[in-house]
Amino acid sequence: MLKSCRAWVGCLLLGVIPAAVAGDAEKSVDAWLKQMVESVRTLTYEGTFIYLHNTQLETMQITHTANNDQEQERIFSLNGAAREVIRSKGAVICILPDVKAVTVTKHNKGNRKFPSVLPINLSHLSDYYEFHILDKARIADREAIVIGIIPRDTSRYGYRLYLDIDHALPLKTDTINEKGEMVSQIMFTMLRIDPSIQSVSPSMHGKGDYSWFRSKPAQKVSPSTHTNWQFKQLPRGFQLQVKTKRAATSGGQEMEHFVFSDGLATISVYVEKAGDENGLHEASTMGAVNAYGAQVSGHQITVVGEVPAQTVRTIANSMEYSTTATLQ
Amino acid sequence: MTNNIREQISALLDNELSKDEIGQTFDRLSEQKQLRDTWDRYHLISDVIRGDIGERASLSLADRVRVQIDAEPAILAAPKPVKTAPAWVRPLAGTAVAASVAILAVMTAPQLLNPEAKAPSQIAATKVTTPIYAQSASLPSVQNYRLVNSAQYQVQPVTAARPAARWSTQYAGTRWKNLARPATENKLNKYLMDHSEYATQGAVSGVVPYATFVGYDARR
Repeated sequence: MLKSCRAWVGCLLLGVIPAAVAGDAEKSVDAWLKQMVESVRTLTYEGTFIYLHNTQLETMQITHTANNDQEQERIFSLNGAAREVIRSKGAVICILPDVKAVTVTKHNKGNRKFPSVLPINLSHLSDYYEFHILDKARIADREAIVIGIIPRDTSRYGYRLYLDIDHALPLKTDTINEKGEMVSQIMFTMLRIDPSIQSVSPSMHGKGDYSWFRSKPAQKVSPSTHTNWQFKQLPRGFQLQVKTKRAATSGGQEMEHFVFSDGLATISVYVEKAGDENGLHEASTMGAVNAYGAQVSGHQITVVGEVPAQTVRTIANSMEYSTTATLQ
Repeated sequence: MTNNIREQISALLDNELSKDEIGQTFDRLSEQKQLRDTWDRYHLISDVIRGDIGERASLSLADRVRVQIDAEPAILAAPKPVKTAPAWVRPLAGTAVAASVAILAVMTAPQLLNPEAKAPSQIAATKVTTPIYAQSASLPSVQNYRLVNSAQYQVQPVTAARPAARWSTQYAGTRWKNLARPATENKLNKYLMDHSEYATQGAVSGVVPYATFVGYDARR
């Protein structure tokens, strides 16, 4: 009795804290993240978010519908060229009114090694990240709980997630580098969760004379088991997830692709025969994405990922070519 | 445009219309440009939903439809496959040299939000000498992740005069740092989009790769 009186007085002093919120704070980080992953995929919502990376600011609109396990998503740029990307079960469509072009990329079944929902496995991730419930906040006029995903070393970024109290949708996501600086922020300014939102349709500004391009399935992607490449020093926790070889096409040459992940961060390594003068020979960065390119044993290597610059560089520098292919 | 005709187009795509209705819908399609545009969109979205986009994606679908009407109104003939330029390279090539807008918000917001951020080029230029596994003493702790206190939001006084050119909405710049080579940027963009296919499984950053692309060269 005394206890509840105190709690009541405390509430009065601190301002009104709805009981539901107080209760939610006790929900485990694990439960929050699981709900987030589920909500992002299964809820129907639309909203406007801003995206700040380095010094660039963009505004975008997102519509996500989920009916009978059929997901569709449209992201539409509200400033500059009215670009849009439509994601669906079957394909990714990019509409580029600035160049009057539409590109269609069909998902290659062989490509979909990853489940569409990340099975957040905290016991595995906790070797590389700490998880904390940090705070409460208000974003887009919604109450949010703030969760910190803090890396245990400098090989990966950290994240600060502001999850909607009711649905666990990420209302704001800060990506934080090894120095504790925010390298990118995504924040909703408006969000409406409503099952009656109609399925997405493209707007196609200035219709009619678009050129259509499709990425041909001719570029055969096949899982490969053997490779001539060895990775001598991978950053801690990053494991090879996918390894594919793509046959040469008219527009490109044979390419090997390695995907590494620590469970949250993902890194791609692309290997082609050297010769294309447009290869990357140094470090570059765009927002939270870092890239590093180098030539090794007559091959152009390009490493890309949402990880610190040092991590992509380390992976590139650790690659060795041997004349005999080995099982990885 | 009435909802009725929209529904008919939609039904047509789903093969739900009777023969008479199909003829009627095609007649109306052939008459009105707006309807043909609708046809384009429905066709597009319908294909995508079914996951069978590819063979039927074509140059100006509506116009092809109009041509098809006379010949064989009841059959959704698949137009011959389009020329298959490498999907990313062509469209992105046209936007390779990005022009950036240095609007006031862009100039000031990052300073307000993150006053001590170093230029990425400085980071990129640093040669790696420390073993990467070492636990850095300065690794951000929970404290760094707590919400920033209000002091950090104070506006920094502008001390040096800024050249007017930097405030222009048209100054040239690229999105990839340290790069001023459109062809290399295109290649990186292509890699990044491909990588996105693999990296979007996590809700943490799932939206980012596509957001990056949608926003790519947003200032033209």
